[in-house]
Amino acid sequence: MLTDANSKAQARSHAPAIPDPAAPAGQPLSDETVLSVERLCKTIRGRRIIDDISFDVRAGEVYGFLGPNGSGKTTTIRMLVDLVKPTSGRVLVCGEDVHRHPDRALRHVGCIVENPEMYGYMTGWENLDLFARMQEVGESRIEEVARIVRLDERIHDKVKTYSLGMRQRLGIAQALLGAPKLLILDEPTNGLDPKGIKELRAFIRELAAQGMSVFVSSHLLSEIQLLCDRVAIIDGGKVIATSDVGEMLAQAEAHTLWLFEDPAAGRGLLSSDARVVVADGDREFLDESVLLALPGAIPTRVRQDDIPDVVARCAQAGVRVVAVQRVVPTLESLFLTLTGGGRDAEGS
Amino acid sequence: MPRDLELIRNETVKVWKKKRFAVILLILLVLVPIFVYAQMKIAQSSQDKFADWRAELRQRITDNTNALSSDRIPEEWKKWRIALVQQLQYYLDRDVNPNTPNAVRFTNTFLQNAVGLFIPLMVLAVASDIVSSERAGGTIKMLLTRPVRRWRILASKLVTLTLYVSLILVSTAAVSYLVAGLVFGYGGWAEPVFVGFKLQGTDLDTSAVHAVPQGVYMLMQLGLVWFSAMTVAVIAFMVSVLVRSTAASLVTMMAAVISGSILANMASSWHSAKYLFNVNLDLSVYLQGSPPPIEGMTLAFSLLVLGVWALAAIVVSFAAFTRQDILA
Repeated sequence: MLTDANSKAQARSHAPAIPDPAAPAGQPLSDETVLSVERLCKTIRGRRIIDDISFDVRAGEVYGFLGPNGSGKTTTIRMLVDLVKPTSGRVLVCGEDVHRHPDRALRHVGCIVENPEMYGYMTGWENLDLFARMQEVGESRIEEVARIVRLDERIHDKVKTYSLGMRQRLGIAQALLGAPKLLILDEPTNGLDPKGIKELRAFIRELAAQGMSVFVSSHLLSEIQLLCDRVAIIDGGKVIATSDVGEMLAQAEAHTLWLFEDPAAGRGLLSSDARVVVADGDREFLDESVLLALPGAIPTRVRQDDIPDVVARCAQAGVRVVAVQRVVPTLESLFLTLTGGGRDAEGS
Repeated sequence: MPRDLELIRNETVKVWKKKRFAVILLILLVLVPIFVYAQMKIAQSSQDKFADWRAELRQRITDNTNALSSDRIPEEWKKWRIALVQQLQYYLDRDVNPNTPNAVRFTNTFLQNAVGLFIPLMVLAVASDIVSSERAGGTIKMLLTRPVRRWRILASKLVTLTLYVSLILVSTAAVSYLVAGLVFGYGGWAEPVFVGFKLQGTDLDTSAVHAVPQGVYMLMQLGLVWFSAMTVAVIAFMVSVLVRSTAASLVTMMAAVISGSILANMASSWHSAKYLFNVNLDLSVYLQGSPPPIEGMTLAFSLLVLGVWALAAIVVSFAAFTRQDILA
């Protein structure tokens, strides 16, 4: 009775809570730490922007960096690649201090910070050639990365004629040039269409499967859920939790939306059921596009195991169910659980 | 070391592909013919008026001497005229024509007039942009996250700037020589020019004066112009590091250069102005033996002032660039 998991609105921003074959499978991870962030702080004009952030990224894992806009994600990422010097703390990439020996540490890193900005007055190839020369990479590798991101047909066109998606791919090609051990992508799906997002996800999983660590920032929980093995959640410049993505989602309460032919009868029935908590107040935490797909649906909190019984009870009572849908908690509701629940941050 | 050459190559390619130099060359190809035409008109009219160059020279000496007796011209203008009259007399006494029209002469005169404003402006087209455009375009994030230390990147940009400044000067000289040659002929390399005039109060000291071939004079002049152009370039480079927007850094530098040429004309009584870089840019006055903008300035003094400014600009550029946070 679950609604079609592939309905468009849902596929775009929300995944079903039931296991998805596309979701990251628990693959064996090596214990080698590729990126190690230790007690990172940054104070700008007396204001503490980043406050004591620590986390580790292991080889071959996709690591999510989740937080709302303005939480310090980008500043942290800029510190990971030596664009911003930390006030205190350090960043190690493959054991090398990024701020003391950027020439050694950044050899293992490929990155796109915010938008992939390249020289528009040059061709894609010329751009890649510039960056290849900075790190002793040969022409054959340029050809290779252009092919990997499937840009080989347009590689000799000026970058200013590229679409946003192509620029993103060129940015990734640039990041991959030096065959890095760590790929850092800052909100990589920004501005991509759904097809592009899906391709990018598959691409990132593939890179990770080959042993590359990928560090991805996002403000969308669903994005992290579909892509990442582990996650650090940042808010107000602090890491409020680091954990396995599955564990984290299990902690946050999922909502179940109910749509009845006769809403009033349905609401009465749900309210009288001890296993179900009708939570109209939680509506603001739910993704608008999901609510749009099921207008008039009643948000509830209920254990997944209890749903079949509740549905059966509805059927017995003659209240016809149109749709029942589990929805992933949004970042806001997750924050509420994590901070309101009095959970201590593991990361610091 | 080979990687540093690759970095310099990268920076050179960027400036080239941005067509900065092409624009400068185009400006030269449009402007120089205009000046050549004007020079040709002057030569024609004096040919019509005077039987030979000696008569013309005598007339100029008389005109300037007469002007000296007028009360209405300011003191520093008088000094300049006195120096000019004595120099012209020196040429006349030795029967050397200081104004034979030829391509080398034209090139020298053009460089002499271009050193204060025209050449600095062309240099700024490259210098003001070379760092700030990376920041404005966001490409600095790609550039600084590659495994190369920041000072190496900045050094490669500085070397590239030096290459382009030199190229601009050589092209300026080459274009004016080639275009002027079409009208005045390509000769004149060996013609003598007197150098070493020294101004002692109102008297011209000619004890150290000697003749050099015009071609050598051009090289000396190019050297001095290069030094002052490099100073402007390096200061603009510093502004380009400190200011994010190319437009802002260009306007700041243009204001500095233009105010320098204004100050040079009015600051003769404000003595400490001689420590500003922008009143010292016109190094060719020393070669000509004209009085400097402010009393007490000598070639060595100006070179020292420019050198100190340039050095300070380089230090500030590197200190700022290697430390600054790239926040946006």
